[in-house]
Amino acid sequence: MDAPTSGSLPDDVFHDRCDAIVRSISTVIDGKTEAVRLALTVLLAEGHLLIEDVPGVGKTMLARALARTVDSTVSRVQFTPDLLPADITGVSVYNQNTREFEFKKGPVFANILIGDEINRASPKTQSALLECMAESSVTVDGTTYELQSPFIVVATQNPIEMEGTYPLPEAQRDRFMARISMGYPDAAAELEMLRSRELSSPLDALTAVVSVEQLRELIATVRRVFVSTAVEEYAVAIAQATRRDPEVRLGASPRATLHLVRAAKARAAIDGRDFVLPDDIDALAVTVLAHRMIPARHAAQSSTVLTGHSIAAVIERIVAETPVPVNSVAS
Amino acid sequence: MTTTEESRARSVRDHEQRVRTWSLSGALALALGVAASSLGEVLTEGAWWFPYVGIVLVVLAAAAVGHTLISRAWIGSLIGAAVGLATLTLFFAATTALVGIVPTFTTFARFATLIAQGQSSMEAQRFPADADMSIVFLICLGALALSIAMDVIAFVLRKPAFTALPLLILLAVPAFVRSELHDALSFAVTALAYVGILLVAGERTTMRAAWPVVASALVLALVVPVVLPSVEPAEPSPGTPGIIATGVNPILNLSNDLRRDSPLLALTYTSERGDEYLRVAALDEFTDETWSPSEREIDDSNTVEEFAPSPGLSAEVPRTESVMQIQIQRLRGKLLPVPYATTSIADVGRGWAWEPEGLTVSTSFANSKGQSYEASYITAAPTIEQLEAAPTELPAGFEKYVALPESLPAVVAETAQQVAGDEATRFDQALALQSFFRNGDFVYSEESPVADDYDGSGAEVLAAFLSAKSGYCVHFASAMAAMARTLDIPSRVVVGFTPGQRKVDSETDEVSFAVTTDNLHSWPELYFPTVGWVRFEPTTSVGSTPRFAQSVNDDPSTPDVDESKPEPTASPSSSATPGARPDLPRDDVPETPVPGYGEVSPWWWLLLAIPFLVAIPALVRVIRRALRLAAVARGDVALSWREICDSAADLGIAVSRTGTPRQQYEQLAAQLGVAPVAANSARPPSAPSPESSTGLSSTLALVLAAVEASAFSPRPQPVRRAAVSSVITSLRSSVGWRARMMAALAPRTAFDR
Repeated sequence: MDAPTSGSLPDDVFHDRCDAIVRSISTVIDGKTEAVRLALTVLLAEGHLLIEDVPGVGKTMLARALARTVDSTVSRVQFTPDLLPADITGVSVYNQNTREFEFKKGPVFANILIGDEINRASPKTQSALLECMAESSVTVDGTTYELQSPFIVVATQNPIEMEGTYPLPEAQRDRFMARISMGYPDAAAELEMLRSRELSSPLDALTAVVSVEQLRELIATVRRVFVSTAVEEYAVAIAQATRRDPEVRLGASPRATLHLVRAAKARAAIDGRDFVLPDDIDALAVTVLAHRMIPARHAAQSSTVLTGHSIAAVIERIVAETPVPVNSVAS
Repeated sequence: MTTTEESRARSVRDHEQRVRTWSLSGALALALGVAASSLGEVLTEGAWWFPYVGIVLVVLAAAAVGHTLISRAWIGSLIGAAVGLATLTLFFAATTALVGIVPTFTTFARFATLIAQGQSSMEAQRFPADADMSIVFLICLGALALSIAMDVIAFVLRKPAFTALPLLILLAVPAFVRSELHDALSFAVTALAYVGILLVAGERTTMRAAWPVVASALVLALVVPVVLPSVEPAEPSPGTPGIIATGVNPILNLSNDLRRDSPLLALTYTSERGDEYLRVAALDEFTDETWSPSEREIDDSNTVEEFAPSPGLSAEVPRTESVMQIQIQRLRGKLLPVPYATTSIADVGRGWAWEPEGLTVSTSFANSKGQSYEASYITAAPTIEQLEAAPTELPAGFEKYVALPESLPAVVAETAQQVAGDEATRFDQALALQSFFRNGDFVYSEESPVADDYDGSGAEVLAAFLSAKSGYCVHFASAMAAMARTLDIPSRVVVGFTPGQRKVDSETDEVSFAVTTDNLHSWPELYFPTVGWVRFEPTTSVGSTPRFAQSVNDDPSTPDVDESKPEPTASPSSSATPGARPDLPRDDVPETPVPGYGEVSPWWWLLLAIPFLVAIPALVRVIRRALRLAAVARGDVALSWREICDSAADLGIAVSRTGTPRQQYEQLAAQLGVAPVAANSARPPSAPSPESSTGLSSTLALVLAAVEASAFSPRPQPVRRAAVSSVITSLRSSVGWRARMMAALAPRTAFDR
């Protein structure tokens, strides 16, 4: 196991770029460093990010800021109840000049797709995203089009008890690597926000700090982070435990385990390590697993916020109960 | 991982697996070998141990080879079983097998024969038994079965903790044979060996789950023997009298029981008539080898509620009727001691039947041990005239009572003629024979017959006895009975108990008699038509002669004579004979038996074992720490962290067992950062010595970094053993002396995984 240098960035470069992104986003999102770091983690792990919270706490702002700091193609879709699948993937139209059908690419053909208020569209429309999110490709009229790399969906949504929302299908929720929530800012941050918004939208001042190429390098570096057998076993043990737990109706999928380890690699890299600690798994377990799991009882009746919390509590308990395999790699 | 690294890691894993397999097999063999020491209780000498251990080693080693080479564990166990069977065949039935080791049908037939021989050999012998060939075979067969069981449990079922089961079975063998758990040392040592198994198997089994097994085994070993004798505190020594323990001829065991070092309380009884001889078996067949009971089917319809009338007793003979309460103590067997002539027994359990000629009581399935019953009996008191007037012709069916083996030396009949040939009546002849033995020429000795090789009761022995004039009850009884037969007097030898030691309850003034194995006795009964069977007592210095069977020379102060005198001295005048047997009821001996080994030992064992027991967790912990630190020195960094966490847990510092090393580090650091000043109130508050805790924290951080690097990163870092030790030392000094003492004496993590 030689040092994973080939193709990965030197530590300081990696660190500088990450810092730049966090700082850049933090100029528009006040006092939410943890959320910003989680967003960056998901970005570097090449996962899709779901930002869920009540209206007006800056979900969209975070999504747009994230998209802006990377000099990449960004498209934004406002999910409305009458949105159709073709509005997202693209549509074949008849070109009168060439007398042929011609594919008009939809908004998914971008590096970063911001899906605003994603749960206001019907499940039918959301289903259009399934292939894109899982396979980074779109199939329309029998033709499969590769999406750009990286392709990252950053979606925002309100908790489902809000009016005019549909619950996301389980299959789609499972495709999001992580769900983060913003939470209300504290008083100081809110004051600061008041002042900064007085003059202009802070987003306008935001400029890209990394190019797409640089982002790809960051992602490549993250992929080379070492994951020991012990940590893999630990992640699997946690996932298995969620499936056995009596309080859980639907446990974590194998894809969830994969996402958990990938996110942990990103977190380790951001922390300046080239190997994953079980602590990374611990720290990300709720963020990565909670939105995919369904609690055993009263899932339909109780509110998302409440079930989310109870699921979070279950995951925290499982994480606390699962022993960490600490074995020497070699004797 | 690159391919070379993978193969390196695999070879390291394989090596560890091999080491584990062999050390676990070794631990199993050790435990089995040690547990077999319990068999020393029931077998003489120790030569049987070597074949036993041989089989254990062969089976476990073969199985271990199988486990190392083949990943499926059951195949390894199968290999062990096959090799064990082949070894067994080679040693015990090589001639019947193909190539000496492949068993055939004949081999198994031979095995069956050996098993049957072993069983009868054990039945015939009194414990401790000599391990003859067939018994050694049984032991080896047991070794084979136990080794396979242990191997299957440890490797196939992967539940090393459950190897306690075969071990307990082995340890319980003496308990089955002798119905008591006694050998505390075997238990304790086996428990230690068992802990060894758990330590070796440590990675897979939960020591916590095994602890109750160890504890209950030790409790069983130590508490049971202590509790049981407390019911009968004065009761000495282990074992059960062999005399009637089995269905075989009781006279065979008699001599061994008489030589028992410390007597066992066989039974107690009370009777309105005072003391009585108690009969167990009547031996009417006299052969070359011995006296034995003639083969009779026990008729189950002869239930003990009503016995057949006493044979030959005519209505003219005066008699008294009495009742006796008998409480069997340590006597175990299929024969029930009763007085003569019993007419009925009440309160005894089912399954007992009487035998019409000898009026003895036996069973096919019940057990005498613990029985408590009431026997009604009549005591005939014929007058001398009645005895002398008894007809001389042999009653019908009594031919067998005068039958003599052809090999009977002529000297027996000659001596009988010489002694009693001139007497007028049969009864006078009998008295003359009795006096011949009791007049002082004969000496009581349990040793000389053995020393001069004429131990036994057969025809051959009698000549030797008559010339040596030294022997014990078996010789006296069989000699008199045989001599009576040469004079055409029907006779038989009876095995039973002399009356025993009189005891008076200080509160109730109730008189009872305690009969021990030293009271085991045999005596002749002679038959006189119209009177019936009459007891004689030829054994010099022992017991009492019946009143009607006394010659003028005999001491008249026997209970039969002076019934108005409640204090039976039970000691004839000739008791001053040198070499008097120890079972003689002696008034000068205190009623409480001298405390023997068996009486004292449970308490001693308990006293000795308590510190040992208490020390087990601490010992286990110390050993594990040493093993882990040695592993750390060899480069197993991960164990260093576990040792630190366990040490902290022992000291009462809360460390999450399921947390990540970093979380555990934070807990340790938090505990140390705050606790040291508060915990050590003895230290001046002004000098909280932040340096030491900082030093500790940095060492701790170093260890953590090494552990994380070794466990989770591609670049393992070594950790110095000294660093781990210094962290543990610092942790220790950070808590109070109470916590330190608890950690040393009762470490919480001693039996953790």
